Amino acid sequence: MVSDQFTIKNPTGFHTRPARLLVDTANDKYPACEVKVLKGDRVINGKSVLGMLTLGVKFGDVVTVEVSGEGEA
Amino acid sequence: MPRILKGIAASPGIAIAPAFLLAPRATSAGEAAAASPELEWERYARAVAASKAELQALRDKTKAELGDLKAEIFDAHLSILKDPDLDAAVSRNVREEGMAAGAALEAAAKVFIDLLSEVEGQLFAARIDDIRDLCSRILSHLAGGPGSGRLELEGEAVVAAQDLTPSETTQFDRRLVKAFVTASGSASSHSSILARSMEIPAVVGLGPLEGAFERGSLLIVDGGEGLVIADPDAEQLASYRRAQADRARAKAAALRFASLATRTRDGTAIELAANIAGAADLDSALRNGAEGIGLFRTEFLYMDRPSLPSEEEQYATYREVLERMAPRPVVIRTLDIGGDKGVECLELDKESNPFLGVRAIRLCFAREDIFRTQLRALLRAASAGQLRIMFPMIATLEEFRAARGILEEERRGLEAGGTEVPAGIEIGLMIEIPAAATMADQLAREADFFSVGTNDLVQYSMAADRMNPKLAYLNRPLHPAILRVLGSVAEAAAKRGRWVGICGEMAADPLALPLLVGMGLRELSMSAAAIPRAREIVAGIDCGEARRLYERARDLETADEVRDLSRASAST
Repeated sequence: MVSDQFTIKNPTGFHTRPARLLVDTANDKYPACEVKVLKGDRVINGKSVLGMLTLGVKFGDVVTVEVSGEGEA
Repeated sequence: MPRILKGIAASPGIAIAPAFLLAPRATSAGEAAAASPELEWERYARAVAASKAELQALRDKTKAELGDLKAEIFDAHLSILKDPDLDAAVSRNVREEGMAAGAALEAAAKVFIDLLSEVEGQLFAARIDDIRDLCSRILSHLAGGPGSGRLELEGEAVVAAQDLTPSETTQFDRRLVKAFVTASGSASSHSSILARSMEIPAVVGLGPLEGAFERGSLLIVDGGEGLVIADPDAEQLASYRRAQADRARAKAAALRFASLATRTRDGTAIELAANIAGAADLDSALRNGAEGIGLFRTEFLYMDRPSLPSEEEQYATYREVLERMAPRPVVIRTLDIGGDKGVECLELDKESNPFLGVRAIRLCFAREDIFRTQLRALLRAASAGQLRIMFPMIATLEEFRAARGILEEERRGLEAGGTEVPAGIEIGLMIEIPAAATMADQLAREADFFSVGTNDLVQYSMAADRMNPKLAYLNRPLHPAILRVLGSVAEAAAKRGRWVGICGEMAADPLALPLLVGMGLRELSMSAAAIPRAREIVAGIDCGEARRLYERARDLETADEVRDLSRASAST
């Protein structure tokens, strides 16, 4: 499993376009992996744009992304 | 039997066409499910595939016609459509719970909607609308119909709806829409402003449309009088067709004035400028002979898009507008958002009274990053033409100084980085808050110009929400109370040698024009289509007579008296 922490720098938070970018990357680059995004005590599927949105990630929030499975590096 | 409906005149002109009722969104009620869960799942998959094809086509069409940004909304819908979590939830509901596809989708979507409504911030809340919008498209396919039929016209039509959002308005085929009529709204709501800039008639605030007419009923829309006639009789039709032809002739005649300079009968130059919402409006401004842009509403650059416009994007737009209008002046108003104009790329707090809340310059102070980006784009573009920068919603001198201070900081920053910013950019403010009107003499010491936004000045002076059709009787720019405010601003500015313009809807009112010229306004900014007619009217005005007319009007008691006086003087 590969895991990394990120601080959100986008002033308007993690809304549709950035969320879509992450989700598209997760789907395209890691088709065979499980991608999880963690914020606080919530964990969502990094391949779901709706899941990403429900996290409500804002400017300055810290999130953790975990990729596990084939081709994870 | 003909039925006459009275509403608010939102955009002048006469249209005669069948009604197109904007259908309510589809639901799963009464849905016919397939024989087995597996067949039902296949039915759902087909509706998703059809929705996908439709969205891709819409995205490509929008991209080609309106650009990448307007198309982004469809990309957002497409990414929700392929969301694996949503898919899994619907699949579970259908295959394990034995639900019908539509109900399964609604239940699955509800989970996400409930989660999203707990997330703070308007931007996330706006995604709820995206989910609903997408669901109704899929539901509509499940019901066997096309998903976007809601906005697709089959022929020339009058579009009738509860209300229209700016994004819906832009999705219509402009060649087919002959008029808009809506149940709610006011003359200054955005769909009305768009209708005027599209030069099509509109009547708003009609009240409930149910039962008034049906899809396909022939409608006469008289946008100038705010009337809609459903199923007109032969006599009404003939009379309106004549009026329509007369209007077309008068318009053609007035267009001869499009290419002339604006002068009053006694030779005073008046600048007739156009209000625009973007570079797309320039063709109409130039065709109608605008002598400048009196109001560039930059908030439209921020609307209907999920992300903020970048400095480069704004720079390109401002530059294009300045270049194409040069050497004519262009007043660019900095971001005027809040109140009625929700913006999805900005997370604005919900306020109980947004018209009195954090909007326009107040919002720019709260979000200086956004303000500074816009100011840099403006300053960098300034060399392309004659730029005038205008700050909206200034209430006090302190605010004007603060805004100007930030502008100067950005100017110094750019110059330090080697970007040349021309000197002589005029810096002014909107007069729309009574406090600023009262202090105009002091503001005039520091501001290069004023432009009066009459729509808001009237609403704030009368303490009457301009979106509320029940208060339309207070929304009277020709009331002596408003004339006095305008006149005192003009006088205060004249003492300091500053010019005053007007950029509200009042500038285009033929009965208001002599009064505005009479009180000393020399720049009048309006919808481009209104310019030729205004030029014709100005050509008949004598400044001395207009001054006396204004002085008489100012001392009258009611708006009706002012209107009668102005009408009587126009007909002599």
